[in-house]
Amino acid sequence: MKAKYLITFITLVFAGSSGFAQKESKSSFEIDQLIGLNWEINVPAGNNYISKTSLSGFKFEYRKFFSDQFSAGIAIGWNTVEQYFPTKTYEKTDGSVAVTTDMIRQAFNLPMMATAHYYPQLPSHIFKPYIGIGLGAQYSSQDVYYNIYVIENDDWGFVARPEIGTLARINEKIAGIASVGYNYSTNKMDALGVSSLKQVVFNVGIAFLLD
Amino acid sequence: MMIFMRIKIALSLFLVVMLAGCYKEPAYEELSDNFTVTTNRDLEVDFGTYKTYFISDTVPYHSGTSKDSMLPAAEAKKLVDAVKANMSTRGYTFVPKAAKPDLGVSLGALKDTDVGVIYPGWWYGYPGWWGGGYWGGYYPYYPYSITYVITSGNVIVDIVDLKSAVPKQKLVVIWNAFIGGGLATSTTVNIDMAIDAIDQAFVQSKYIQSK
Repeated sequence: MKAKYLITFITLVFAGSSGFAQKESKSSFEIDQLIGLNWEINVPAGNNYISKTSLSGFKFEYRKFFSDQFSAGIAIGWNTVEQYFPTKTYEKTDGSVAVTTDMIRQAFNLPMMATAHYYPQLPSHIFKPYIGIGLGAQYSSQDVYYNIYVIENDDWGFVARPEIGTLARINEKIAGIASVGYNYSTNKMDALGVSSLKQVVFNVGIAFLLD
Repeated sequence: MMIFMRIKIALSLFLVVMLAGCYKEPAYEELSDNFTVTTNRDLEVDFGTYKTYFISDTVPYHSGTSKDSMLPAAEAKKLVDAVKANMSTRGYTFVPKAAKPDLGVSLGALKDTDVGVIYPGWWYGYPGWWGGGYWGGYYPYYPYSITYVITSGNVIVDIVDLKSAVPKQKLVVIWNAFIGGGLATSTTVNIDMAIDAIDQAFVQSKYIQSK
């Protein structure tokens, strides 16, 4: 909760002071807005639902710069992964129920976040590193397929994704993006005892720099 | 400005394509054909206190498309023998019903055939779909419908506490095995899978042991 108020405060401060922004900058390079398209890799961190890394992921983002050091925007992503689990006996903790089966677990996540990034002043004209955070909602669909049956589970949860990364200027209009972050969401699946989802997220992509 | 507009349009299309391509069908062919085996137990019962049991030679069979109420004798014998072999290994003695056995074991089989019919043509009317006008005035007509059949089966094994029936004033089902899955077209294969599943039900129930 406090993070949201902090971001709103920072946005208002910088939006209010944008009229005094200097055109000559001592830092990396000036951007007004950017649209980023990223390939996203999700590595599960501590999940007991799926342990396989997802290579099928994508993130679209928009950032509006209120100064050289600060931007705010939105990000929407999706990632999907499927993992086969060989035949095994699953037992309830009190021992009253046991189920033997193989299964395919499938996960599909759609995080939608408001983002804010801070860019420290550095002398480089090519790299523009940043740290930032995304906060929002995540839709998650977790389906378990076994024999001819399926357990379907869809829910919405809260998502938080702090990240660290950099832009790398290619020319006037295009820059590369690379970042690593940690995605935490409150999505759950009672049938398999999942109470939250955590992944380490890698993004690699292209940013279109707009006037 | 023109470039910006083009980028906007390109990105919107990209986004739609990305999101549309996100879900994929699981690799069903990876799943084993073996039945899924679920066992439930009454946690308050000590299986070691029972010594004798009775099981009938007949197996009730309910199938939605047939008037048969019993599995054919040869098939029933195979399933009953599988249960008897497991009970014997666990130290229980088979006695006739008149000898007042401690436990009553019952077997039942179910077959469910889910038949669906798809009447093609309902997809006409979607925007952009090839309609009658495209082909020259006539409305497309399908001289057939598409039928799918999914046959599933269940084998249910119950162990009933006969010893405590009078003191407790009820027949408690102290153990249940619920076996199920897609059926093969061959009865022999189905019976073999059921026998494997009955064996698995006992494997995951090590507490069924007479002292």
